[in-house]
Amino acid sequence: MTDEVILEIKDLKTYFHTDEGIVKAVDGVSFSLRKGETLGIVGESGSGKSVTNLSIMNMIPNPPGRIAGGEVLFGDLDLVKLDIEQLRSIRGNKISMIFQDPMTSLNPYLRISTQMIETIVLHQGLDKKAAKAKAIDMLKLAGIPAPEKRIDQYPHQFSGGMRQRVMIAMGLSCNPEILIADEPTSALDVTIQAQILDLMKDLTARLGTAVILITHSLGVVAGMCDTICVMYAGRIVERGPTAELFAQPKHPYTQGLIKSVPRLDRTSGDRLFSIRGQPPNVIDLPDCCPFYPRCDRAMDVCKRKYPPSKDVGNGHAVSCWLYTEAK
Amino acid sequence: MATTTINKAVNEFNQQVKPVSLWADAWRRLAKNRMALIALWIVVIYAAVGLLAPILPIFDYSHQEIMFQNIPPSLRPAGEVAVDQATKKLDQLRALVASGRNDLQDDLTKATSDLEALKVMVQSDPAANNVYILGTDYLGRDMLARTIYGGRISMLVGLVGTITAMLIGVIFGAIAGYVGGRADNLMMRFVDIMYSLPYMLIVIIMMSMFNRSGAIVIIFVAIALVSWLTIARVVRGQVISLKNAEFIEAARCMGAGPIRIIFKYLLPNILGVIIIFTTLSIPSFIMSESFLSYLGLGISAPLASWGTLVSDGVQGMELYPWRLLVPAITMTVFLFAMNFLGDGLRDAFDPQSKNRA
Amino acid sequence: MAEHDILLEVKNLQMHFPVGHKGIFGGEQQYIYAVDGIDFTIRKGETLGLVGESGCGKSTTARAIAQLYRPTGGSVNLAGNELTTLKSKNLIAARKNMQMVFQDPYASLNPRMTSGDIIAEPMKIFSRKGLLDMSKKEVDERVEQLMERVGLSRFFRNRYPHEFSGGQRQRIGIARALALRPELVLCDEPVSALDVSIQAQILNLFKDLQDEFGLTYLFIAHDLAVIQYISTRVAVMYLGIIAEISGSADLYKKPLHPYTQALLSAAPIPDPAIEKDRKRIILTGDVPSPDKQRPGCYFYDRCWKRMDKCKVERPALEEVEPDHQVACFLYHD
Repeated sequence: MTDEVILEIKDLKTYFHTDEGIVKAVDGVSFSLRKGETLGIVGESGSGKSVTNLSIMNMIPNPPGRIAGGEVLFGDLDLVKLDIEQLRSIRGNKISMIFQDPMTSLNPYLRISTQMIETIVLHQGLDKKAAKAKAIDMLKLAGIPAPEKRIDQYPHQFSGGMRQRVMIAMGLSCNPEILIADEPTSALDVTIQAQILDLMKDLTARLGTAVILITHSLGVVAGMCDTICVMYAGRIVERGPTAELFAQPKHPYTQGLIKSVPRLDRTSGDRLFSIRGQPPNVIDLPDCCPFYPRCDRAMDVCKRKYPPSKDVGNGHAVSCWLYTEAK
Repeated sequence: MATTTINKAVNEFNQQVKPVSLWADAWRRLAKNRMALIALWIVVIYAAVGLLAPILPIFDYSHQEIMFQNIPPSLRPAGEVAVDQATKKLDQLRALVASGRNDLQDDLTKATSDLEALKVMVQSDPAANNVYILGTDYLGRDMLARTIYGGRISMLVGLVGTITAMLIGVIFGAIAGYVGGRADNLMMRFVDIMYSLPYMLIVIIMMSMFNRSGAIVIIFVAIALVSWLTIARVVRGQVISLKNAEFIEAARCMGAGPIRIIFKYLLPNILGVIIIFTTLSIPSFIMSESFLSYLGLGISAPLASWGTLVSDGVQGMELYPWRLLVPAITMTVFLFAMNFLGDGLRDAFDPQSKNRA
Repeated sequence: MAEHDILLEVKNLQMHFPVGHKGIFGGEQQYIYAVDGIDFTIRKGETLGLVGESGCGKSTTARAIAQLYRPTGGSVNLAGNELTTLKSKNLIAARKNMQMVFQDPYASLNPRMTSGDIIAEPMKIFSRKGLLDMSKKEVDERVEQLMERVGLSRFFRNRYPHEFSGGQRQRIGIARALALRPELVLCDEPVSALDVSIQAQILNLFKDLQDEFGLTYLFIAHDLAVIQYISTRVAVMYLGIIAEISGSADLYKKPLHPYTQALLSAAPIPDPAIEKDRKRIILTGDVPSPDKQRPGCYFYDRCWKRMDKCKVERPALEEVEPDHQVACFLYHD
């Protein structure tokens, strides 16, 4: 991991216009990604993590959604402003994505070879034969046994874990600078999850790929990520290096989250801490800290205004009135 | 937890939390669909007119005014219109005779005296003051009244036939789907056999055999006999896909028996599909009945249905086009409306959008 | 009555599902051996956790115990009552003492019934069959009590499931399960579909209800940490058999079966200091599917400690330490 920033998100806003009102799925998200870094985005359902992810590659279904503001700076290009042709040359090539359910991202009617070769030929300009050889190499790297035979099979002939390996192989086949992984292991059994995460870690380190890993599992980010962003109701409430964030969480939500996850290594049988209430409905949310109804330390200002981000040192930032002077 | 009063709930952000039932949700979506809303209004108007026909200020549908046969639609009294028609015919004849058609001389003489007689009769006959807005048919019966009463019969056939088919089909399909196994197999093979029978032929045979007496009932029976098949298959499919859902397992876990599960758990959740099918099969029934009537196997005089009216109208199509156009257009508009409504309902009941996460 | 009476006893339980049909010219009928002979007991007031990966048969076990599937072999004995041989009315009567909470909060409630009706449903069914004597007023009161007890405002009893959040729906499901005051509650992955912050609330609710009503749980989950928190004892399942049963704390400190060890090693811990240095046991291959009966140990293919004996003989579940049973030849002898 170097200090060179390859992706910078500035105040990204993605809104969905629905019958019931405006859903501000992402409401002012800013972070940066460095070369070779693994960044984790943690949040629960409704936090906006998946939408952030789709917004980076401008894949929001329009209507009803659209990117309402902000910049996504990749090198000197603003991805938000690119047209579809320019975006296509980047997707799969410089920035690649893998999803939770490989069955929906792999075309069930096409062989794996067809799907992989298509990407390689498109972006790397190799001919079909050379592309197939490269694809077989990637499958081998991804740990698929007998790749020369299996490449001609269909997705349904692979198990869940194997399909995810194929996705990873496809995602990395063009040697992208950034790999975005949206809950890549949430649908997998725990022993398979361990295999896949291990594989991802290994391959991305070898190829120098930066990774944005989106998940709801604190255990997964603890093991995989260098930096973590915690999202709640469409905003990043805390951001920082992994070790620092777990050792000294500042935002009450982060603290609550860490305390409410049961841990295998603690067998004390003490009552599990739980954050009261439930995640908010993000339709037409007023301007306030969205966490205040569930917060033990909510103050009056929390109901009236959203707190700005405050840098607390060590690359650690938090958006909370406990750490910022209310003016 | 949010503090609430029964109807006006606000959550912790002081946002209104309105209770929304599934029907209200579907209605809201339907109301947004302009075509469907227009269609709904049309259907409602038709139904209202049909229901209220006996008390509407229209002529009796079976009353014949021989003097005023084939009067075209007009806002002027029938007497005037009849005289105009006769005068026009007389002028045509005169012109033909003048241009050399001497064989028509006798017709010309007859037409002239007919016109005089008509003029005299018009003075004295009170019926001459009637205004037939949509004209009359070949027996001098008011087209408007006949179309309205014809509509009553047609819509009734559609409705009763559909309800019968639906009741039989839904119960059959639900039981087959829920019970499964050999019973399901047998029941569905029965449906397959019924499906392969030449339906039209059977209906025609039945109508010919049981003709005249209780004609309407026979039509219902004949058409309903074959129409329940599709709904049975559809309901069975839905039941099969639902019966392993967790809430059904939960019901079984609580000791619910098959009857309760079918009627309280499965059918209410399939209601959307059933309603859609119903709205789409009403037009189908009406068309079947029209077809039969057109063949002469349907409703018998003096009762009318849109089908018989169209059949009558075809005969005088060139000279008296309104006799065909009035019932045909009326029926077509209704069928269009039912179809659009059915489409709109399908969108409104779309289960995908039911989960407002 | 002694506090630690056995409430549920399961012996050699089997669920074999026939798949497809026998070929016309005679072929073997294929089966899925979802549960292939398991034994365990649950004492009154305790929680037995059942953990395993997909295809291990844990959900099927719960349903076989609840008689939603009739077991194809073995016995299920609830409070002295043998359930596998019960029919119709007797079976329904037995259900009063055994209820289930399901996994998917979106699919386990009838979308066309209000929350109040859903919770009242078991009482209505049993009243109708003459197995319960409660007036309408009493039923209504119990519904309101239950709603308050699980943390739902009783003013929401006329709302439909789609108007509630996932966590709230699960609370409705729990209230429904408690309506008949059962002794045994089978919980099939009740928190797996919930967000982390809600999960903790529901887990605490389960614990509180157990203390208050003296409930006994069979708690199924795939998350080891959740199982370990909520259970007194834990059973690890693999391909339809039980690999190991022990006390909850013991399982983490001293896992004996190689599969348990691999599971524990794979489970992520939310602590970067620990995670970075972890040496994981990475199992090779995929989680197999239970489509054939194997002569030897079911874990043979993926086990790195296997011996020749393991290929031909199936190890039985034996107690090798106090309250610690394991099915592995490494520990027999």
